[in-house]
Amino acid sequence: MLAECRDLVLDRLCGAIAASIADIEADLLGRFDAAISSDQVKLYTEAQRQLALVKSDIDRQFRSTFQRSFQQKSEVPTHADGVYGADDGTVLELSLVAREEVADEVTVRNLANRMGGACEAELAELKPRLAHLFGRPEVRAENDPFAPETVCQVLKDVCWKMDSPRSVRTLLLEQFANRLAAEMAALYREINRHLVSRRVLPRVRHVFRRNRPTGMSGSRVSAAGETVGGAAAAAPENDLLGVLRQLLAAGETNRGTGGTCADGLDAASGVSGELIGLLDRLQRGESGLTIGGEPLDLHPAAGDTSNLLHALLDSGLGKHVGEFDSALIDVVATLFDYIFDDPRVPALMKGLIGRLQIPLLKLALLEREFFSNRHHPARRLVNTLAQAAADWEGTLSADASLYRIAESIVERIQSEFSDDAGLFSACLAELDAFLAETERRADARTADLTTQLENRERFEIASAVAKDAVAAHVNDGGLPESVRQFLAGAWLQVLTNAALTGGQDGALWQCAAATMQDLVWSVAPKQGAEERRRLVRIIPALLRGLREGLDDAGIDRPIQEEFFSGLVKLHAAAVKAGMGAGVSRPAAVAADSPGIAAPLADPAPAVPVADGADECERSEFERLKRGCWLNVRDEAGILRRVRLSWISPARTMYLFTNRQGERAMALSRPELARRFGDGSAALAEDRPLLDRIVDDVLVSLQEQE
Amino acid sequence: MSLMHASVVPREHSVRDIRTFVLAGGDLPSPRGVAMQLMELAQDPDAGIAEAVRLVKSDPALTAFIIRCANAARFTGMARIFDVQRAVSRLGMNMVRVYAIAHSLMNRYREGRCIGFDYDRYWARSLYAGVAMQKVSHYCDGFPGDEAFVLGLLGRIGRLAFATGAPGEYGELLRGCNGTCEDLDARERAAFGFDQNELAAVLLAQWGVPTTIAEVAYWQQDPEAGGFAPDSTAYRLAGALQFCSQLAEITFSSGDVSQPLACAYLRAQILELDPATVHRYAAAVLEEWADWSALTGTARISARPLPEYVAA
Repeated sequence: MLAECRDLVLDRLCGAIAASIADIEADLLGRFDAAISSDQVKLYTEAQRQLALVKSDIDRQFRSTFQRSFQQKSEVPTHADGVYGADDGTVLELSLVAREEVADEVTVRNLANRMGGACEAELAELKPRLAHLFGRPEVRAENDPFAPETVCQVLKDVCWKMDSPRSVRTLLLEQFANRLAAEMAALYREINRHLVSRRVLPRVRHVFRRNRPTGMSGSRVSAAGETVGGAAAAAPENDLLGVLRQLLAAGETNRGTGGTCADGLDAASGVSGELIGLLDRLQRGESGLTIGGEPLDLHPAAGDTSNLLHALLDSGLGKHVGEFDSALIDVVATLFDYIFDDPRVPALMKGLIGRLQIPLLKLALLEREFFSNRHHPARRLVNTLAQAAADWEGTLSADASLYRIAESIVERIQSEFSDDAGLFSACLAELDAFLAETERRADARTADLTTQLENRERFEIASAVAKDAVAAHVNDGGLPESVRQFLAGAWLQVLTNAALTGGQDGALWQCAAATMQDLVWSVAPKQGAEERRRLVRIIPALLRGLREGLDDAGIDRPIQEEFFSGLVKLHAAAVKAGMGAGVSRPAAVAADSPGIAAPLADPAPAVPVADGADECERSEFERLKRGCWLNVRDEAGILRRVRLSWISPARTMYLFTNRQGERAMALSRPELARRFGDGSAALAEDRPLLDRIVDDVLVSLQEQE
Repeated sequence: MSLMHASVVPREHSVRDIRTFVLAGGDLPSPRGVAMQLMELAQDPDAGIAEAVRLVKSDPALTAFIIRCANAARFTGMARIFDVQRAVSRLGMNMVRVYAIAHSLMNRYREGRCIGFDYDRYWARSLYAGVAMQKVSHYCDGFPGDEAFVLGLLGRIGRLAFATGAPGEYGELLRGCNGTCEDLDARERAAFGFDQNELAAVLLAQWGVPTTIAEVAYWQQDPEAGGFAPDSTAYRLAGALQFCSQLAEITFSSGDVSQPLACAYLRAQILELDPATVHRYAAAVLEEWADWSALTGTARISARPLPEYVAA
């Protein structure tokens, strides 16, 4: 895992170095241009030259140097190799080193300090993790392979390989170090994330420093009352009482007073009843308080987050309660200091928690477990209040539900707490229940939001599919405009709904798509009887499909009715548009009813007449039309000249009239065909009588000639 | 009901010769006696009302019928008439002829031997179609209402003719269709060589009805195929006849009427009848049909109002 971190650091740093070269070159050039002395000109000229020489190899050099350094620091948990033997920087142990070397080390340390200053928090989190990985109690700068000091030292080693004056090497070292400094915070965060992802001390948090002097100097206490650092850091359970015991014992030893106070730490009975009485009165808000017969000069600072416990100590209480209680009050006061200083906790909540100072102090005095048990309900209550407020989205106001429940809890403790810690348990349970319910609602809202987002995405996909399906028709200029608009509007919604419901394989989609196809077909001109028949056949299902789809899509009925009203007109137009298609019928001779016009065409096509009829007869028969004159021999054998007045629509019957228009005879088609076949019926000569006589005479004369 | 006819093909080898069928069936439906004479009278431009009155008076049953008609519900509020002369004047010559035809046919063919042919329903539908045609006739370029009534009344006479001329065979054919057969026309052509439309056209032409009207009866099945000009009266009449026939089908059917309904509204639109007017007409026709049923003594069968075009 360390190797992973090493590689990560190397990659990021080498990347940063490579990226910075152009910037350094530009900077050096700028400095060169601005140089006002020959030394400066030399310096910047040489620096540019050196950079040009090393830049192609600097990646390799940095990597190899860093890896060597990493190897050394990983294997030898020793003190720093530098001139400073101590890690606190307060004791200077000069070794016999060259003056220049000392200057170099100072340069490196200054650069490292600058670099580390920008990533203090990230380093604080990283160090325990590295210590954990190295199996060491702690990791100091001198044996930290990733520390700013190490990075600067490696840079220095690389630069010091340059064959150039020290001033040039120093200039380039500063250039690189300054640019890397900007990258270090992100780098350490990345390593921390990586280690957390590998479950390396995932709960390590950055602990902010507290500079305010307290009676517990040397120890640091988190907002949750957990001590970190110093002697307490190593104590199991973070037992604050243990720390107190050690400190007080040490103090007594130093003073030669024996262990009296420290011994009294384990007994709650040692707490003064007068002190508890005083705190009870203080909790009730009484004034004119006294202790040991002396008035208490209590002047708490104004505001909800003023530390009343410090004020208590400052008021002279310490003189009456003994060293241990005084120390205990100071510890509890310090806890509240941390709470009040924590920027994550909103001010309103700090104010509420601040009202718990006296009850918590009483509890701490009466119940030693408060300090030793991190799961103590009172500690958890304060933790939960602070954490819930810190996690509160937006500004925590007095109207917020969290504030209201917290306020009621605080007021209850203020009014009811005497010496029973069970009250804190009950209040904690109430708060936990509230937070659980809040979380449940938040989860529900999140689920709703997620569902909404999913639905929106599904809708967009469905809409795109539907648009694709109607596109061809919407862009078809041959379709009536109203149908195109309908498809692009209402029916698009129907198809979208169908796609949402079951996708393109679903029954709804299939039905909606088929209905659309039927609609498009239905308004096209109908050619021939079969298409007209099909139109009538599909209209009921078409209308039903349209109605159901539109209803399902929530299209208003008035809009639907308007469309249906227009649709029947389109269907009527489609039917009329195909009139006469495929029909050829000779013009009728005359209408025989004064009220109506005669049909334009006769639908009956020519077909063979009858078996036995020769082609000539067949042709003659097929040419028969209304108004033709025929010579037909009747049943009595008399040849009659009759006019064909009507042929039934299916040509099964032929009606004949005489010159006077009276009904002469009716013959079925087979009968007439047979007569044409045997010569008992034939088309009558059309030529007028005189013409025929003249023609006959001429023919006769020609024959005589 | 079959809306359209796929094609018209002359039949050289008809199962039956239509003329033979018409001539052999001596009992085929036909206006007889006075009704026939009144029809012939209508062809005579010189004929007067006195001649019509004389013909009506020659048939006592027709006389009683005409007087009942003249005092029918639609003349409520007018003085009651007991005189044929006044009855003919009130009804008009043409309507008298219509009444005579209806009286003649409906009295004679109220029942028959064709099993499976519902005579009551046939006459109910025909009467309804006649009344409906009379109502919509002014949407047919002012075609005379009484002529339209005859066309509606007799538009499906071919079916009655089949039931009368070949009761056994036609009964078998109807049984094969189970009463709801949509391709009955095709089955008729297959069985007889011609269908009821052709038979109706031939019969009407035989009776002296103008052949253009006879052709309208034929092309009611598919007006667009008749070769009519789109703006011709014949085309509108054929469409109106199909429309009225579909209304009758809907009114007296107890089954699914979605297709007749679609067809009826389509035809109405071509006639430029909006759905509201169609509903108004259908209601009025149903009312008048009830009067006619009472006058002619035909069986009253259950009728239903016209449903909406698109189901709500």
